[in-house]
Formats: sequence, C-alpha cells, structure tokens
Amino acid sequence: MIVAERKPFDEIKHMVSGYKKVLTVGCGTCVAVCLAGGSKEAETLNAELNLAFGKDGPEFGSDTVERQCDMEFLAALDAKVGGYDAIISMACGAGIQFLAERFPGKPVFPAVNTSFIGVNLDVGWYEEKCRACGSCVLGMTGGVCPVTLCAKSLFNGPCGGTNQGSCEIDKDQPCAWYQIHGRLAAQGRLDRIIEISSPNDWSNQKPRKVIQPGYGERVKSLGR
Amino acid sequence: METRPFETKHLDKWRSNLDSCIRCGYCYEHCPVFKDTRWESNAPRAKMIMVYGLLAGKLEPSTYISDKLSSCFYCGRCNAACSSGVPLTDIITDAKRDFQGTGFETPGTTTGTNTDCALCLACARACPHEARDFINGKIVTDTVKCQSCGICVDICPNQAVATNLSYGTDRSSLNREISTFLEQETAKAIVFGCNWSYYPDLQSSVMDPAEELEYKILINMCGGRLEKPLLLEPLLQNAWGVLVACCPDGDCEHDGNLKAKIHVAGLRELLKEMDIEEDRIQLVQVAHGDKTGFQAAIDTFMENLNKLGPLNHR
Repeated sequence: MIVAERKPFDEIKHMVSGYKKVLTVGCGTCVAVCLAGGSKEAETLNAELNLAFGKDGPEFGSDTVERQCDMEFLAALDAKVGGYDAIISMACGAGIQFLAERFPGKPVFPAVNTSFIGVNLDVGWYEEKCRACGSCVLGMTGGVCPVTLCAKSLFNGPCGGTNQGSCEIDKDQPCAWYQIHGRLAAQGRLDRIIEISSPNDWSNQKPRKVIQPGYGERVKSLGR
Repeated sequence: METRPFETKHLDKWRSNLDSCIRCGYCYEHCPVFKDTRWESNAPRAKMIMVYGLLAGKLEPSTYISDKLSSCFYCGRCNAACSSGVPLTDIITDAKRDFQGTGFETPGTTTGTNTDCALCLACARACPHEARDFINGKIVTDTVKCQSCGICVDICPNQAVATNLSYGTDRSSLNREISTFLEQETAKAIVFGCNWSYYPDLQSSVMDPAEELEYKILINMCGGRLEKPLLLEPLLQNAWGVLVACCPDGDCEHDGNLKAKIHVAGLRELLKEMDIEEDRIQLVQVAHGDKTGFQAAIDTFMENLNKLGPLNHR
C-alpha cells in the first residue's frame, strides 16, 4: 500500500489561512490503513484547525471517499464542493492530483506527505519495499528488491561497503545483496545472479501509464 | 448461519453457589449500564437472577436475556461491591459462552464493524483481549473475548467500529453531555474519568450540589478509547480546560492509559503550537478507588485553570 504521514499542523494551517470555507477530504483506502488520512484523521484535523483559528476562522467541512484515485468516488463530492472555496486532501499524491483535476477551479492543499509503497509491520509501523521503478527484478533477486533496499540501488551484487550483512550507511541497515545472496543460496538458485544485469533506464522519466491487456480498446473509446 | 441449541454448559458450574447472591443490590450503584438506564433489568443483580432462571429452567433463553447478559463493560466494580463475594463477571462471561453460536446470541456492549472498514487490521492487532479477528474477508468480534474497552473504536481510521450498545459511553452521547454542561455560565472544564478505577459511585457522589460545579466528570470506559476529536470538543465549545484521568502505569487491563497518555501529549504539543497554554489539557493517573486522590487532582487542575482564565479571551 501507499504510506503517508500527516504534514506538520502549522504547514496545513498556513496553507488554508484566508479562506472562508474549507472542505477536508479523507481517503478511505491506503492512507486510512496507515492511519494518516482516513475519516478519523480528517475529523481530527478539522477539530484542530477549528481550535487554532477560533470563531472568526474558516468554516471546515469534512467528507471521506473510498479512494481519491477513482473518479467515480470523487463524483460524490461534485454537489458539495461548490459550497467551499478551498479543499484539503488527505490522500496520497495521486489522489490529491486527481481531486485537483476534478475541481480545477478550487485550490487543493495536501495534508499529508506521501512517503512510499510499503508494508504494514504493526499498528502504525510501516516499511518501504518498492520504489515503483517499473522494471521488477524480484524474480532474479529472491524476492528482495535491490532498487529499494540497497542504498545505491545496485543491480549486480553488493558494493565494497557491505559489512557482515550490514550496509555501510548504517550498521542497522541490512545489505540488500547479502540478503539476496542468502535467500538464493538457501533455495539453491545462486545461478540467477551470476549473469550481468543491464542497468535500468532511468533517463527521460515521464509519468507512466498502465493499460492492462485487453483494455486498450476501452481506453481508446474513452478518448483519453 | 448455522446455530446450535442453547445449553447451560458453562453456566452449570455456578449451579451450586449462585444462591450466595442474596439480592442485596449493593452492585447497582457501581454498574455503568445500570447508571445509564436506571433499569432494574440492567443491574448486575438482575443478570444473576436471569442466570438463576436459566439454570433452574424457569426462564427460556431469548435474545432479550442474551442482550442483558452481554451488556457488561467488565469494570468489575460489581465484583468488588458484592457483599457475598459472587464473581459476577466470571458468571456473565460463562453466560456469554453459552449464548455464543446459538440463535439467541446478541452483541450487547461488544464492538461491531460496519462496511466503512478498510481491513487495515489495526483493531485486530491492537485489541488487548485478542477479540477481533480477520475471518472470511471480514473483521469479526468474538463476543465472549470482547470486554468492550473501546481500544478498537479509538484506533479505527475510518470510524467503522462502534460499541453495539453503548449505554452513554459513545462519542455522540458524551458530546451531548459536554454541550449541555458547557451551556451553563459557571461551567469551565470537562473531566474524563475512567470507570475501571475510581469513578465515584452514586452514593458517594453529590447528586444535587448546593452550588453548580465548575467541572463535569464524564465516564468513559477506558482512557484508551478517548478519541482526539472528543478531547478537543470541550475546548471547541469554550471550556477552559480538559482533564483526563486514567489508571497508573501497569494497572490498566487494556493498556488504555498508554493510549490516553499519547493522545494527551500530542494535544499538549498542538496547543503549544497554537500559542494556547498546554496546561489546559492535562492527564492524571489515579490509583484504583482513590477517590480522595482523584478529587485532589481535580482541585489542583481547577485551581490552575482559574489562574489561566477562559480560553475565549484570545
């Protein structure tokens, strides 16, 4: 899932200063799961803002949609947004942009910082696992991502800084290639990392689009 | 769903000593369920009479009886107050065991989860009683294990968890109480007190004080279920301050005091950022049953609050 953290209160407060009616929109999926932007957090933020601004401050409303990255769920806000002169989004960067795209006449402000794609280790504890590089090598690396977990995102074994299982940047940071070697050795698959991997193409990055097989015609018919 | 017939399988062990309940009624005044409704049928004594009826075959099992027996917050104050040493909450748990899986099973005060649930599993991980589980694609509450502490209510990011029968402990009821109290001119503070440890019973509390109190004590079932917006609500309604009372470290069965400490510390930090005196929100840990200590903490808090003055002077 996408993991986010709430922005410092002062930063959010500063962004919405001067507006009269502000709608705080929570997102009920990834950012809710990581306890950063669900309906509870939206309500809490509004209570905090109300207290900070006092009676003469903006009026804050709130709503939470299932996902801000789906236009059908955003449609539920169409009738509501007209009554507000600014929007706070508690979704990830994708949701915030989709919300801003749907309501181009309204200033949209982020209330969270999108951190990473990660896993849920325990309540409130998350770890990055994927950088969305677009060229997954996990099949070759025993399910350990060298792009995310190696400080240098190396594709062909560890650097000289590997130190008894740890990374040179921090002894508490495991060396990804040490882990990759260990797992593949245990599975008898070390041959998978003997071949030299060509580097990923990091150049000329632009926003990527994914159209799943079988959906091309549908996308074309939508004219987008 | 497949159900099984009701049997007094777990209750049977109480058959020989249930008579030790002499119906004195000392348990009444301590029970938060009774205190909310003032219904005889909600008092711990009534629960024992119902169990007696079920064991004697004089009462037929029903959802009504199951509802009554499942309405318990496990504060254990009835056990402590019982003149005959009847372990009421153990008996109530066995009654819940016998009703579980039958067509009469009802959720009572246990928590339920609605369709806003994002399946984040935070409640299942945080439940101190291992009462919430992910089964067949849904979060399910074990009505026997759940002790209605409300830790799951506080942690749910989508506000999808609620106590089925809250008996005045839910947020909207508490918000109503806050609004009603703060309408009074003399009202200054809200004190959230935990039922588990020291909430004054009816006999020792002053029902009709000669002077209006400057503060109101609101029962919550555990400090761990005090959600942040609830703690801010009094301040939004121009209260001068909020005092949160919870159990000392290690004394809370649900570790709810740890949650309360985190929330209050976070809010104090926030007040500081807003240039509001952080002492307007305070937390105090009071030992079980220490009514004098509780009162002393309230008095100190109020004394300090009176020095700070009203919040709306800003």
